[in-house]
Amino acid sequence: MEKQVTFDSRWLPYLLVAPQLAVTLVFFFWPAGQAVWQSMYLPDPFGLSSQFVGAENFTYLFGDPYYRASFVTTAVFSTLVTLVSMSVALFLAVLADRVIKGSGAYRTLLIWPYAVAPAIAGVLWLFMFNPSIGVATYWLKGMGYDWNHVLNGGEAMGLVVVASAWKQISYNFLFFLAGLQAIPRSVIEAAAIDGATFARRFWTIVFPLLSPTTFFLLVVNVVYAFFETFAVIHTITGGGPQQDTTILVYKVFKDGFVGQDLGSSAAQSVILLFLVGILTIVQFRFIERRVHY
Amino acid sequence: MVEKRGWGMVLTHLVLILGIALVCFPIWFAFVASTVTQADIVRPPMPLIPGPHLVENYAKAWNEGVNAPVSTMLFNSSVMALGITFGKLAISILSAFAIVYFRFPGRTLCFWLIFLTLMLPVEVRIVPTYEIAAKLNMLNSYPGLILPLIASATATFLFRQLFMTIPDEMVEAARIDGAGPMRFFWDILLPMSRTNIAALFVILFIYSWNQYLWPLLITTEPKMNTIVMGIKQMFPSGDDWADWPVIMATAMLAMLPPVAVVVFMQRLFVKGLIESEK
Amino acid sequence: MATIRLDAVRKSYGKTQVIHGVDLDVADGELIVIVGPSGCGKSTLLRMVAGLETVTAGEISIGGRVVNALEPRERDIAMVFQNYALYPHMSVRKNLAYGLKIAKMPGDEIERRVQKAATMLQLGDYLDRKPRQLSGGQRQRVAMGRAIVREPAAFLFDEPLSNLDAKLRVQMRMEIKALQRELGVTSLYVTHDQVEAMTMADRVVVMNGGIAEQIGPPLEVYRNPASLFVAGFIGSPPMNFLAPSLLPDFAGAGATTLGIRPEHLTLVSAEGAPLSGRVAFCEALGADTLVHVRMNDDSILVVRSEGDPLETGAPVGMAVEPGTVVTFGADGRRTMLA
Repeated sequence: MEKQVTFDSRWLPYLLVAPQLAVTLVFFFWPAGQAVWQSMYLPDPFGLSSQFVGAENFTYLFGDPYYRASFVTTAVFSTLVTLVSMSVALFLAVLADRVIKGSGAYRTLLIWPYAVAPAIAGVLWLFMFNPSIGVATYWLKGMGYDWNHVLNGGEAMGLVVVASAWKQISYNFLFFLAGLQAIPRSVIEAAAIDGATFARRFWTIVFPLLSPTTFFLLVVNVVYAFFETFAVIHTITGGGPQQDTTILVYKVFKDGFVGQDLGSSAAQSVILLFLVGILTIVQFRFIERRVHY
Repeated sequence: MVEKRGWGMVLTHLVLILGIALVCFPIWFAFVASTVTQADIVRPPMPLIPGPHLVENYAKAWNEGVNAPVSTMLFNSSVMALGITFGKLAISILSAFAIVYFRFPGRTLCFWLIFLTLMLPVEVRIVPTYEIAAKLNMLNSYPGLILPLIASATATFLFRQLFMTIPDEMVEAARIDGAGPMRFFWDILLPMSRTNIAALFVILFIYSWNQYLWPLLITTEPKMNTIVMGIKQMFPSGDDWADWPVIMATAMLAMLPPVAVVVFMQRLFVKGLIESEK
Repeated sequence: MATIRLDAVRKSYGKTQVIHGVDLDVADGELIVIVGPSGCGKSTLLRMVAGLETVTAGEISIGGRVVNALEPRERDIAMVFQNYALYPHMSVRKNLAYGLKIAKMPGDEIERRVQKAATMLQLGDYLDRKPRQLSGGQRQRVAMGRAIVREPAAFLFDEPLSNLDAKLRVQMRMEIKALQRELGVTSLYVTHDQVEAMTMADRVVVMNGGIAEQIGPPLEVYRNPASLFVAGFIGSPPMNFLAPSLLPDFAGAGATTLGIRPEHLTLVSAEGAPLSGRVAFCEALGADTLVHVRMNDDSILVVRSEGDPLETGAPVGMAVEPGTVVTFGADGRRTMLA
């Protein structure tokens, strides 16, 4: 994909890319380089000097039960967030697609949560489930259940999953609806004439044809769960109780900023970098091979 | 859906409305909470309909807040969001222009450098970026809030994709008319890209406004708080004594601009989302 | 195999009625072509028979059963869509087998039917390809194959040839006709192309504005059109309409328009001819020429002549073949010849 006709200029293109390159170098590559550098050093307790330790920070991390737990927590968290937000969104999108005339209105009403910051989503859900004064807590108490996510790790995970997924439902809904509406009606009608009931049509025709969208959303949702949910965790649980909701990105923050363990935090950043890299490659690889019907 | 007879339609609408209610009720609670007194909240159950203290609570939030008045925080958020949005748009469109319409040594390198930034969300580089910002004296400042978030590979790619679809004849006609590259850029390329720029503006604005982690790190003085990160600061360590009505009022105000943008510019928003993920 | 019957069928969308009462009796094995301009309601009618649209009033019966309340899959019909509507993610074989699998037919019976349809439609080499690897004509055949394997009571065709190029269209319409003859399945075929209607139909239904203006064998509709619309729609080049003042001999009581087909006019010398005028322009088609003649009331008559094109402006006369003039009243309906 190359433009055949271009302009001639010695210096202009450099001037044009300069701003972006400048910011990119100063705020992306320099810090990234720093992170890699720092990950190989162990700062002394006073932060005055550091000692080169090579890959020791990394090996320590992989042996650290807290870090391993954080990996598991992140995996569990991302899976749940992705599963919940995608299935609810798909369900709603299928329903909205059935409604021929109203789907535009439903779409308007369902997509605005996307605009809500994850941090605010966290505050809202925290408010509802506050162990002492939350409305939902009150209802649960009325049904005999004592909710306290400050003490109960499972409840804490549940709460952050719901708060994170809640926001993503809009995004997924939008894409699923677009994907569903892109399937030609006549193909659905042909299946109906061939004898397929709604359920059968969904699983044998609609879902397979939706698979590019589904795969794409899967990747996006996992990336979202990995990174953008920091705000939710920070506002609701602060990673707790204990480490029960400390996902990888949160741990980088906690160890680096709160714990001042720069070497470990840097090493964790580098590991995260690899993970993002893989996800990004998967995403781009897949987009290259997007199936067209 | 093919089947038009029977209860199917009614049920469908019902469930959809239920879904919308479920999605909206956290906001509803927050709104109600922002209109009642602290006492009403601390003694559950909180009433489910709005109370009479709307003006009072919002005024208090606006003028005092908890550790910074909401008016200040809204201002900071606006400066940050608009700064990042315009910044991203400006530098991305210029880079895309350069990469698409010029052949120069190092072009491929530039392209890949920009591409690689996709793999470096801010969360992955927080500590060193913070150190660099500190070194450059950017803590607690607007440039500090804005600059590290400004380079955007997605916007650059989008513009590149867009420019690729513009016919070559445009450039040829411009050259024949005696227009140089910047003229072409201003008079022809920009106007043709208007809708895409608007669509991207919506997405970027929401993204910038909702930033949390980076503003959290780079601001230590309450007067530089943005509204989205500032809310967390309004919770004291023992949250039973949090000033809930004011916090909820702040939350409502924090949500207002992005939601308004999504609702009123829905078509552009949807277009922007779908285009930017291609 | 079955009969199809439409009894006073009406369709409204909200307050707007689009089909104003259509009656049709289709015999077993007949190929009925429903033809008309865009918006006349022909596709809507077909979709009502299929069950893809609800019926507002009247009854539709297939094989003697009233099907108004039945879903498409309960009606024992098969449909060929204008854009083929093949399942893009399935091979040709799977596309053909889909309906049969749903009907829980045994595997070897499915295989047998698929093979039979593939042979009939020359799809044998393509069974394992996906639709996007096929040409338009091949996809059309797969769409028909899908209908054939189900061995339904009736076939419904919704403008199946509109998306093909002209040459392919000619070839396919002969194949569809032959196929239908061989299988003997009752068929409803919708098109806007009157040539398809003329060449394929056992009987033609000419629709206009939600009403069936005439139902009959093609040649009957051609020779004895029931209304101005039918006369002008069927036949190419279209029938000439002229004011009765030009041919006073033929104007009967109440006739407001006369109709003569171009092939029923002959060019003669202008002197003493029943009709005369000047040549406006000529279209030379090769085998014959269409001469457009401007009359003195400024209307244009088209004459099909076997000679060479004439000079513009030349005076020319026309003779009328006896018994071919049709008269229409003010309401557009056919009046009896005087």
